[in-house]
Amino acid sequence: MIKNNDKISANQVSILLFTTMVGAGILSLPADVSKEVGPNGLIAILGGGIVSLFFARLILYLSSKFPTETFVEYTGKLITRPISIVISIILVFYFTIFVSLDVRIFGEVLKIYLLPSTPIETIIITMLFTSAYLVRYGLEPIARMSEILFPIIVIPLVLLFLPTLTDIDLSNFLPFMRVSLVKFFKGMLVTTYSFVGFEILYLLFPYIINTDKLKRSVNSAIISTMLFYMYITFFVVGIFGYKETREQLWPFLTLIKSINFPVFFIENVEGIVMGIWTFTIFTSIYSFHYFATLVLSKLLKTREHSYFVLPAVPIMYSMALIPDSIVTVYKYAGYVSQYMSVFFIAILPILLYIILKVKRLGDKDEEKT
Amino acid sequence: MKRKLKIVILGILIALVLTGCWDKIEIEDRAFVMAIGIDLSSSNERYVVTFQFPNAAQITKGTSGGGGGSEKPSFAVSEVADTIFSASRHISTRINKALYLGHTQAIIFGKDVVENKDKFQQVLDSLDRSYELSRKVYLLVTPQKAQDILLKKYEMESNTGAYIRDIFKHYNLTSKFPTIDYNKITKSLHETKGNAIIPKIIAGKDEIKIAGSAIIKNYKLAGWMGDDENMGYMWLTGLVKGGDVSINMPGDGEEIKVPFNISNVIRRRDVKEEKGKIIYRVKLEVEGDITEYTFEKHGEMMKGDLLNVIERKTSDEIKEMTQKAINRFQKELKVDMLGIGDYIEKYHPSLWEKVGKDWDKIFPEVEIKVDVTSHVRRIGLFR
Repeated sequence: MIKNNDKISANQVSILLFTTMVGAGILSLPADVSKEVGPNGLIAILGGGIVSLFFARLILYLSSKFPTETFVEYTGKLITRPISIVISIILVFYFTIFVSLDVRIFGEVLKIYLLPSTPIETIIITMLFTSAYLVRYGLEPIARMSEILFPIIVIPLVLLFLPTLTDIDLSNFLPFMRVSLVKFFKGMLVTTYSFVGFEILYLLFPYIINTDKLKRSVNSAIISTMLFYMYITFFVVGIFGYKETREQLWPFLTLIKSINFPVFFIENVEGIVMGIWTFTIFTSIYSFHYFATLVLSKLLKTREHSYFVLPAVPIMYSMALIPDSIVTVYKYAGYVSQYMSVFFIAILPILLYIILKVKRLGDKDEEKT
Repeated sequence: MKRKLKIVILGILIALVLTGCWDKIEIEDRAFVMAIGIDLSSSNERYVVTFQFPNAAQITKGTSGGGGGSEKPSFAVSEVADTIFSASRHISTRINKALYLGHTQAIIFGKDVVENKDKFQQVLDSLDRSYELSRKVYLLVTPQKAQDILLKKYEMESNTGAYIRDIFKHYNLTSKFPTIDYNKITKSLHETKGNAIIPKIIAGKDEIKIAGSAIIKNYKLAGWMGDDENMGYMWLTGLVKGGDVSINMPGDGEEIKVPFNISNVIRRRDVKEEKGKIIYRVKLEVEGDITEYTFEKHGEMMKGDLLNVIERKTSDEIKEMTQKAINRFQKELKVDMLGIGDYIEKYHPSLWEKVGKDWDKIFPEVEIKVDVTSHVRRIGLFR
């Protein structure tokens, strides 16, 4: 059922996870986390990373019990077929929403910073077609694309911020842990949303060659994402202080405005960063795009996912244009992460785990392999 | 036939998709604004916004060896408008270039803007929301009109924005103005709900001068600081990185001034609560060198306790400066610009929980103690 050339290695999984998780979230994460926990954003991200790691491993454990089946099939065994179909449809919808939100935010940012008179529709549709072109070829090219883009994303972003090191005031991270625990957990929850994307582990397992190394690669993906987020938040809060950070829409982009490159002729690095950021968001978009169509093809039991890739584009496109303004975009994003993400990241895996233990399912499959 | 059709379609697609882009603006059609001046019109209702930008055509001519000729090296245009943004748009009816604010180096506020709370807040918000402006811009306040500064041409450097930036670059030669850029000012405004210190600029006949600073209290100009107060403020907030302090020393007959050239400053702070009173201590350790004394006293530097006297006098002088700043902020204006509240919040959070709520009332009662120790490290080439 699964073509041989469409399998990826555990290392590729790690990179695919990283590039999927790092997307539009990095723009606003420091502001969101500062709003809840004040100067302790770094610790909240650490906490959020650990929570995400726990759930990612839980999802991995669940899917490893059914090594040849994807989400649609094994949930059918666990929570009866009809419920499984409903949840799968919601999952398709969920991934589609992420594509639309990401591509809309991408369009907004690009329009503001680089292409003020290009219509946003053009930006969005170009991005979606590019993604569709890649997604049609399946998982292996996607993973390879992520492998290529990963160093292009990480290395310049890490280096670009270094000139601002002198502006960092470490006292901005004080006082240490003076927020109420309720607020701190809320902050952790907020950061967990930035790790959204590891739900693809529900579906990924049957496509992996060396499944024995998978635990390690999930660990390294989530920990490196966490470190990357912490790195950016360290610079943002270190320079602006949490009181100003929480007022900003995209502190990540405001931070870029504060970079004073030692070489005079590249005074404004916004252009460079926009280029890199296009890749980060592109990696998230194609990954969600692929998994949305994959779930759909499993649901309808078609041989190939690629039938759905192009028909999905107009749907994603029109969904991306539903919100009126950037304010409503973030309002909808808030709803999605508050209700749907919590369900897919936390509630569903716990539920499935309990049912798995009660029904004692899946063990047989493991003996077979 | 089918093949031909395919090629034609491909050709049309390429022509449509790959040619040019919507947002192309040739570089010579852009006006790279270097400095912006913001004033209020005489009725105090509309803004007068002045943009200064270099003449790009002339610069390119200069580098290719043409010698520039008689063309103007820099332009400045003013526009009256209801908002800052509309000024930047309406101005396009009068100039043949598209304004680009990404390289702006300095923004100058006229006195009337800073005195008007509503207008000033509006200006600040428009800067915060701007997509183009860099966060490394220098904000300045002038007691004159900002327009007057920008419309003039200075012989030293005709590009006023670059002129201001270069003055800020060698901040560690003097401590006459606080070296704070937009990032720090807006951070202070956000954190203290409307208080900040902004450096002051004045225009002379052929040059500009940045010295002293304006005190913004509750988004409104509350006063100006002269050299001494300003330096005192900088001592207390740890902004002093260089500059000099002059002290009186007995010379041959009458007293002479001796400069103490600051090379390094270490600041330590501490807060204690005693009998309901908050005591805030600042310890300054100042290092520096003596660069001139008097010719007749050659040889005396190595002898006796002359250096001790100089050190003691320097410490007293610095203490006096800080006292002036403390008087100004604590007694007169009753506004915490010395970072005391910030310090308590960060390093003594349990105390802050007690006093944070009505810090404005408690701040004038705080006892501020300044201890200064100075060390002369070098004395120049003669004994």
